[in-house]
Amino acid sequence: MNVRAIGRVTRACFAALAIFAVAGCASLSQDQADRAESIAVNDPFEPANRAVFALNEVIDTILLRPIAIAYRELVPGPAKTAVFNFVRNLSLPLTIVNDVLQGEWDRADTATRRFVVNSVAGIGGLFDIATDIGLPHHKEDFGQTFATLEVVPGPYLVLPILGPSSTRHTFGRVLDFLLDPVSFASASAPFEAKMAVRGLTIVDQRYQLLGPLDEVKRTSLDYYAALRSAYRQRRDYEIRNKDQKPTDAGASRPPVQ
Amino acid sequence: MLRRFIFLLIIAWCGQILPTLASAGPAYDVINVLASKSTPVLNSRDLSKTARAQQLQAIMQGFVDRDQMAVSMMGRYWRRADASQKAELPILLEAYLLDAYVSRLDSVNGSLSFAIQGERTLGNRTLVDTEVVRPNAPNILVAWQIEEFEGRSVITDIIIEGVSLVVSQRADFSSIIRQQGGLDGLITILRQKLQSK
Repeated sequence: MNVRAIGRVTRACFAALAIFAVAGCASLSQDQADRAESIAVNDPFEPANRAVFALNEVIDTILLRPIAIAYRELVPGPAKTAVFNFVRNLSLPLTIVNDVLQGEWDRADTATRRFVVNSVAGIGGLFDIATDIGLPHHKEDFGQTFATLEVVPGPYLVLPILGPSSTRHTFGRVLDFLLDPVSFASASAPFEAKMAVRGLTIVDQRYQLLGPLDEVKRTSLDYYAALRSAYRQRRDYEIRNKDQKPTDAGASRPPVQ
Repeated sequence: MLRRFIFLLIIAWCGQILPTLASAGPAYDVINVLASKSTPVLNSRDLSKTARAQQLQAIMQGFVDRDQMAVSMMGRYWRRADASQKAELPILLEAYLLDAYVSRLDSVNGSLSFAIQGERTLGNRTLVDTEVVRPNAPNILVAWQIEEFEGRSVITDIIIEGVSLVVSQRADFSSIIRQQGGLDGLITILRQKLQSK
């Protein structure tokens, strides 16, 4: 696909999003408080999102979750830890690129040293030596870089298979895919090896989410809304580089009576 | 919030409390006292699961204000509630949120530890930062939000890796209220949930 074609597709995507957003705004309630809540929720495509969410649930129920459970039950703990370390290590080159783009030199330095230590001493990233010597893991992506450039997150989206996202996060994901240094470095690697790594990544990520997702599902009345809220909060937390912030809950709320 | 709150108590009990804070303030004391009170109950093998649940509920009431919790979770909808809804919602929410934790009492093994890392005061709120250490898994950062309310320190929110329990529950309940067309819809669903147990 040439640059002109990419430009056409991008413009078409933005136009489609704009039409959906206008349609969403048109359906906002006349009640001022309801309207404010709808804007805060920022989910103008909710009916479509819920449909994709339901489809994802089916795929997850019949395929991804059973695989993750089998992985949990059948694979020994040390092997799962090695896979987790390996997958995390592969994410570091992209993190380093985004640390640099964000001007986070110290974090770029930490990520670089972490990548070198774990790739060499940790045998290709299978062992996490770096954490023990004071080089903690962190993750950055293009969506987070857009956020530091004050690009607004845009409406909430549920992507097929990938799940919760926003327009900013979605475009960030496209760049993550296109510009990941690991993809360039492994361009000549056998197709089977690349697919094996991608498969391991998916299985590990779903395994890591078994507990949190089960907990959200178990403790919510509307799983979709609860997951939307959790995704947004978690994403903001990652953008803030894991700085826990106080919330508006508590004594500052109006009195009971 | 309540059942997640109690789940974290269970985590605190299952592991060891590892105070790493040099200077302890009132908020730190709240978390420490909470852990010391809940430990014997959670640790007891003489009490039935239901008895432990009841005792934990009593302990928890000293650290969480039920009415205030309901106000926080209902958000703007609280102002629309009439007197009977304001009387019933805190009770229903507490019962609903308590319900799930009983099943969790026997499901957490003793391999976790819980370390208090420090406290930060931000405006009228204090966050006590803690870390749940799990074997063969990344640690979990948990912040306990504590505020002075009517002369006592109460836990008003628990923020797990950036995800607030109150904000999450509020989003969940708000969605149901919107779908059902009002607070009565939420109350009906909560009643049905509790009756089906």
